[in-house]
Amino acid sequence: MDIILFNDTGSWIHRLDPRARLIGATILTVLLSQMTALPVLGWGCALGVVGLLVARVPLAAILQRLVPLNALLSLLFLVLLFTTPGDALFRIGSVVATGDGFYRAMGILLKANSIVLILTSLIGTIEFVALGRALEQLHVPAKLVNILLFTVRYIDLMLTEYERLSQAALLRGFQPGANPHTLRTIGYLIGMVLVRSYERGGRMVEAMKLRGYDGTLRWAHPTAFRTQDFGFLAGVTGIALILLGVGWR
Amino acid sequence: MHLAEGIVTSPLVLGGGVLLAAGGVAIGLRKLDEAHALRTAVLGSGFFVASLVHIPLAGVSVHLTLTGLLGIVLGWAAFPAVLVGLVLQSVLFGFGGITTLGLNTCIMALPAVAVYYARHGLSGRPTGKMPSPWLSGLLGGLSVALSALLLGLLLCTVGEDFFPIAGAILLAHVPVMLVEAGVTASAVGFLHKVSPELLSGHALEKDPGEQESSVSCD
Repeated sequence: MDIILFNDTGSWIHRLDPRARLIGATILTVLLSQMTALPVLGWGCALGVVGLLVARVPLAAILQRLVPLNALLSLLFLVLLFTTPGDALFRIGSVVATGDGFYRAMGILLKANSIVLILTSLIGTIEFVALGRALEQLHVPAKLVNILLFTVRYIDLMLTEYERLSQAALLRGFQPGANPHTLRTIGYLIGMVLVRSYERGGRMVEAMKLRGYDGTLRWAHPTAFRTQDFGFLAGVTGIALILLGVGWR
Repeated sequence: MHLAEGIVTSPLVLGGGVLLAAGGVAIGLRKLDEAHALRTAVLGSGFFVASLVHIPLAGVSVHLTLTGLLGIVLGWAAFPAVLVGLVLQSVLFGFGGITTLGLNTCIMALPAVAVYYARHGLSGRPTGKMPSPWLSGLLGGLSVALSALLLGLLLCTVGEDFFPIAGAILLAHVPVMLVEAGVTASAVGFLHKVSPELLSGHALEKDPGEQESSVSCD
């Protein structure tokens, strides 16, 4: 799967402090997850779209997220539409689509999409090192932040490693299919990736140790919460309160 | 396999997932010192790459989760590794989000920890005994079943109309279990020959007896 990064388009959202974006995204998504009124969820989606436009997220990245999500949800949509009891909306043969089913399925669809859109525009736009730093500043344990940062660093290398190994297998005439041979070969490939990652991790730790690594994170540049960050959070809180006011029943 | 946003919304269930995941991550982190946290990260990236591998299976392609192997190699450290993997999936691919992060971590990491205890007994002390490929394959398959079961149970908390969907998910995971079992057995057989250390259960444990070679980070 291709990874489409959009954490450097230089938009207004990108210039916000990552902490503000994390907090804002958490407020909005937790709130939306608790809402059931369709108009509120619709506004949530609209908010997400505005966020994507402001952050100038490329269309390909948006589609990459929305297509699999909605493929899954449309199955769920159909099941709920036809199995929820209630007044008949329309019928196909002997199965009855109900108004309640439609309302419920639509709610899930809008909710899931609004949350993904908002997360994409607010958190997908944070560069990983900045994300790690923001998490640490928000008191996530340094060990966990280190695991996050080093996992990001090594995924790319391990992917190259895997691609090299699978290319070697292909060159030796390996054809993947539904058979025991494929499972065995892929098991070996994965085993080799793990061995390489284990050894590489060992060497990296030694190198880090020689450079005085003690588990603390040291950052070159100071960060500050600026007026615009407070303004953003005030705006998010305001929107959250309005949504809460409209959606509360 | 994971729970999409917006389906399970009960604050009780979501909150419970967050607490359970936080507890598991805390235990996992406590078992790692700073140096081994980094080794976990690099191994975690290996697992992340392995989980992107797709296997063609009669027309459809399934992707691996390797929960069983994760439990065998990482033990409790599976919790932080899974959490980080899910955060990355969420940021990079938009799979899952913030409110379901706790539940999804539990769905993948609890079976991994269960595999760890199945191997070392309830005391949780690594016995140093090597897992046989067959046993590992069985555990790998069962861990997928456990993940699917957890996911199904969570869907059942939503309402009665989710029962058939939960059932369908369980059924759909039967072939995944078989693939997972085969790949896990083969990978463990390979690791037996190449790097038995990874299977011993203390590849990532703090090792107080070996001050010389381990990094002390106090």
